[in-house]
Amino acid sequence: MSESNKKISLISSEGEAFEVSEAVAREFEIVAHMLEDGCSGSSIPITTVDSNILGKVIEYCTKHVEVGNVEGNSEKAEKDLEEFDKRFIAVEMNTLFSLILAANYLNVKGLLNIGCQKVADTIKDMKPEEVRSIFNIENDYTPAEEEVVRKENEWAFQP
Amino acid sequence: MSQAEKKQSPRPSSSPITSLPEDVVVDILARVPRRDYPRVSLVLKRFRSLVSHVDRLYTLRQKEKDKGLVLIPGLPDMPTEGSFVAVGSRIYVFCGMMTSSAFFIDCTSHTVQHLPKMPVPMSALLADVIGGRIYVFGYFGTDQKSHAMVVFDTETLLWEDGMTNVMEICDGW
Repeated sequence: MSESNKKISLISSEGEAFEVSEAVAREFEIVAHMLEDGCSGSSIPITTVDSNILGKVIEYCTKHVEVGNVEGNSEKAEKDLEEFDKRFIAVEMNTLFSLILAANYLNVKGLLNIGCQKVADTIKDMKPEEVRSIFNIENDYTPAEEEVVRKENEWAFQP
Repeated sequence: MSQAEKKQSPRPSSSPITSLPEDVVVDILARVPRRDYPRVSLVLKRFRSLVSHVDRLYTLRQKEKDKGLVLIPGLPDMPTEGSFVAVGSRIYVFCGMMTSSAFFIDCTSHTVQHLPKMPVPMSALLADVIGGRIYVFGYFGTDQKSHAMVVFDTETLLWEDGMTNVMEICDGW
């Protein structure tokens, strides 16, 4: 396939160029649409994503394209990919949120999925105070309001 | 580029999760098990209102292999005592007393279309479809002694002249 040999440069917000195969670039749905709309330029600026995050998103897409191209032995491949995803998304919170924002903007569905799932898994089983502290959220309830909501849901706070 | 520098510098005043677009936050909250919603509600007022709406924001969608949830923009509150009828790919919702409003959810385009208000105030609704027309039964107003029936045409999207029959209810009915 000559198509997959075509290279495309993705330019980060700092102006750094990342050269990837067209197949990898197409994992970014936003880029796939641009290419389909006849935007045939070989370099595409991704102005809202910095080099660090863009590099990671490309790493994710490259892995998924590679695995998708391997024929046979799909069960093992799927497991490997799951392992890869798990390791890939085990990052500190700021990076996680930057990845989610980038995945949302670039429309990389798989990455958005595992990112949102990771945050959800982090939130569940946590006390409200813990969630606030880990996400650096300022409590916007007054103590009285908080008490009302707590009362409403008292059953859920029983040990 | 200064933009990149700005991005990397920590902004202690705003939390990353609150800077996410709303549909992403909803996506995250929809993945949290329901039993955790009371706790999630307490984190932030915004979470509380999102969590309380996750039910009505989402409908199941099966696209390709992807079993996902879909956001329906502008979906009104679901009536607690309304009636729902599925016709083709549309789900018609008839709200009872208070609003008498009606709308349908188009399950192919994931949109809501509002319909003309129900011609008479009714409560305790029951609705079903026969030949493209939806028959909605209920009490006339909240008066449990009088019945009403109105007919909605799903072709013209208009109410037909219904009837409001005030009738004596037999004892023990």
